[in-house]
Amino acid sequence: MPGVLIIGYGNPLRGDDGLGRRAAELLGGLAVHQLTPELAEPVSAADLVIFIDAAEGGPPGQWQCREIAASAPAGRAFTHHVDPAALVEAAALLYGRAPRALLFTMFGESFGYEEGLSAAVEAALNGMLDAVHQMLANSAQ
Amino acid sequence: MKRIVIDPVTRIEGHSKISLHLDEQGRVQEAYFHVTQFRGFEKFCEGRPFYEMPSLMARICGICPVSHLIASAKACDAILAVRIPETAVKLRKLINLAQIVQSHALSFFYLASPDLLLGMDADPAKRNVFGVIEARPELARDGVRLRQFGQQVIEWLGGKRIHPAWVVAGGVNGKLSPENHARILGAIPEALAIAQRTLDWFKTEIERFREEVRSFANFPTMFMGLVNEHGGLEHYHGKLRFMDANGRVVADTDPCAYAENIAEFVNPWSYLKTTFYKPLGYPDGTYRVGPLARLNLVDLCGTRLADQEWAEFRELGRGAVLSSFHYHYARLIEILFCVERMQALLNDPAILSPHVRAFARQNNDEGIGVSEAPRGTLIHHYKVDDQGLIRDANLIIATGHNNSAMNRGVLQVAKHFVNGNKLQEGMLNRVEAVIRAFDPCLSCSTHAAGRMALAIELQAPDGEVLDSLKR
Repeated sequence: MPGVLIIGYGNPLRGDDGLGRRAAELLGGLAVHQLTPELAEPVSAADLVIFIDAAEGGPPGQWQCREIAASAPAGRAFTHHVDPAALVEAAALLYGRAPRALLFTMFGESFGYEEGLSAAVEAALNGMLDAVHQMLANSAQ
Repeated sequence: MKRIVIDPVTRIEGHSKISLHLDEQGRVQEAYFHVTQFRGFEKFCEGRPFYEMPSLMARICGICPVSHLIASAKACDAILAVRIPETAVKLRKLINLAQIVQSHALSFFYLASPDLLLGMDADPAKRNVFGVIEARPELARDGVRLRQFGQQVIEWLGGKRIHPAWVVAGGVNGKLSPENHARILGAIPEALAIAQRTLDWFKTEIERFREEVRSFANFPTMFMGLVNEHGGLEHYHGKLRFMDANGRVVADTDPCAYAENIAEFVNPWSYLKTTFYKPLGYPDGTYRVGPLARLNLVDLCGTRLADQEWAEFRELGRGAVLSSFHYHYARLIEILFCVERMQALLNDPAILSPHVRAFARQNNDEGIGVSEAPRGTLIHHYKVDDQGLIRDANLIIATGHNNSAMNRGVLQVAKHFVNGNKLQEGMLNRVEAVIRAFDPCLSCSTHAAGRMALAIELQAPDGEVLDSLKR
């Protein structure tokens, strides 16, 4: 969809951490290992950026979507760890433009040294993808 | 005896810590650079078919996988006993040069520029890439563009930016398309312009770092690296040159005879091995590799703009430039050279030839591949059985060659800047910064992943915490 950039990120060799990349591949977006400063330029060129990632600390398969406000990283090096808010802020500072940004996060079950998603995440994936499609459809209207 | 521990060393690739040992008066007596990773690639590849090695070895690193692809493929070429097509040589050189550009850009713009732009004593909360973005966005944009350029070229050539499977035993597994040829050539002018203006800017900044120039691993050592047949700058193949601290060539050797000239040993405080020039023993045989070494070793770079910059660079030292602070300067000159060299390769019509791979079966039981990675000389040495399965693998990684100099550099900086009775953040940043100047790739050189902690404590011998800093 014109003006929309989907970025899914994570390590596919660490179990459910590969969710973001799998989702991005299914949605035709950018599947990357981690967020890096080089993404600031394509982010700045988009009207809407959708980030997709996995997280620990919640019921496996449960997902949430929240708005991301651009903000500088607090006391972090921005080299080993870049988060969506900092990336959007970098886009504004470097290229003069910060798009609307959303972060879809699904809680994973297993982040061990393994390939493939857990059953809980696998089962919930299509539901989250449907929500992304709905979001995109709403944005287009 | 008091001990200061810096853990982790920040804004480098990989995981390490530094320990400083002080006497009763708070003066630094000894310093150690501990590489805390262990990965074991040399061991777990045993039993694998040799032709898998380029792709396997590329997984050593996410920043310089192409270096391992190149050295590994060259070792496999030797096992096949093939001379690969000339176009394959040109294409391997092209991807190698692109990688050096993106790796050097990462080092200079993302890791080192916070210190160089904002100052060694700047607020740590700001002294990072984001601080550079806020303070000087045009510099940050240039860094991002240059890194993108290198990575994009790798992707156009090899199909993906990280761990491309394109470099293989016998050559490369696909020709360069006219479309990608045009894309890469089209991107050259911007990359050249960025390299030149970054150099112009940095040369005006060096004067601010007089003390660092004087104290950052600034001592006589030998230097080692590849040079081409004309004594020019070379990253793919050539003679392995050893030079002394006065700039005299000690020996031009066959890289495959490395074991006659280089010895390794293990230090108990680090997973990173140390190497030295065998004929002189240790520590007299300590040498440095990488951009600073390469620009000392050569008789010329071989491209117009880089040669002009190189001539100016060499005025920094009679015979050889010794201060490791000047690794940053050398890195920028190498970026310029690499982009110029890429342009020359692309302007050669032969680079579009479809003849890009030689095919053969195993014809030797051993193969050695040597190339110049961004950080220095890289050696892959494989022994195989009759089935072509790896029996033994020895990797000598660029950063390992620099281990001795890095340790000495840490001690030199610590003695110069650290007051053990009162810790100041800028002191300790300089101890880290000397390591950053070498741009070590620690994941490459020890083959594991560590965990990040963040605390600096000054402890008395009985363990009482006397002072502490946290970032």
